[in-house]
Amino acid sequence: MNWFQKRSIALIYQSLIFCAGAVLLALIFNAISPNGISLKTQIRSVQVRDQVLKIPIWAKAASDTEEAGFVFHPAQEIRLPAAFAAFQKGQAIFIDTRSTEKYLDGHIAGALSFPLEEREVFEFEELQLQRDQKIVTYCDGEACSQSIDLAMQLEEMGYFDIYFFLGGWLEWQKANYPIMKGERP
Amino acid sequence: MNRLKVWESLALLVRIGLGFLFLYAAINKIFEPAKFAVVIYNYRAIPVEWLNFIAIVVPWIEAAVGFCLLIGIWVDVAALILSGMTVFFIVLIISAVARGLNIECGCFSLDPQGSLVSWKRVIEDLFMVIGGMFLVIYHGYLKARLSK
Repeated sequence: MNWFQKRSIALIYQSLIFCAGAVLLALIFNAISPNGISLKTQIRSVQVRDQVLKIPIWAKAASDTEEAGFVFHPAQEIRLPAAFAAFQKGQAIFIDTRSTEKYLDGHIAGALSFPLEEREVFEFEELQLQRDQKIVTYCDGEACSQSIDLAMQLEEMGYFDIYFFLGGWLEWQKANYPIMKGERP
Repeated sequence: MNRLKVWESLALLVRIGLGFLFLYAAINKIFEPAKFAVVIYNYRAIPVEWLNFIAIVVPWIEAAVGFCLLIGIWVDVAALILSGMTVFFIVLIISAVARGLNIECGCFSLDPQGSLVSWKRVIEDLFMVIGGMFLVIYHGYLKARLSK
């Protein structure tokens, strides 16, 4: 083995040791930090269009929420026709999980804004919806996940009529269904 | 002799620059692993069970790398890890851009209004890899050879 090879192997070994040290520090810090999180992500499986998706659960466990003793109802997918029917009958409240900017640019008529990436989930209570209110969450379309994420979290918080509209803003717009721009009046 | 000085100054500049960048990138994430986990999740490229672990560990590796580069210890090793990580970031960002994901990069801040993944990010990261590899070659091989 020549000098170059020896040196390279040494570098790689040293890098592994270096990383191991950093990982150890990380784990120790995470264990004592008030913002520490569990090492393994909590997940929930959900059936979406013939496949089972694994969705991480970021919200606190149901037992930690103030609302205790609710019946657990899993969130489900709602497709465009059913979503529109619920919209027409005024049965459902639509929750736009996209950014505030996108919401102001245009959203499903009457939808409330709850930008998942800008807010903490527990702030959802500020919308003051009843636990049995039919709620439809949506984001851009099938490529985004905030609709499912929020639905899963609301389910954890004890809301029991939760749907995620996977087609989202894109499908709604394509269908030429009513939209609004700007702040909600 | 003069030429050596030029390389030495360049290495110093690159080392401080990259060290500062990595340390800066790590700080927010270290204190908010939960937020960082969500950012990683949005890339849709990492098995969900591992999100938390990665969100806990990656910022600390970044911080350790940045710290070592800044104060000038284990520079070759730190630079090698920096290059490896950045190559990994580049792959992630390209895959996100290619899939049309309009997501937050999570490169330097966790602010949702922060910068989104884009080709610009890829080019920035490419420069970081070049800088990192330069440090690996300079500190890991040239300097080691000269001092031998």
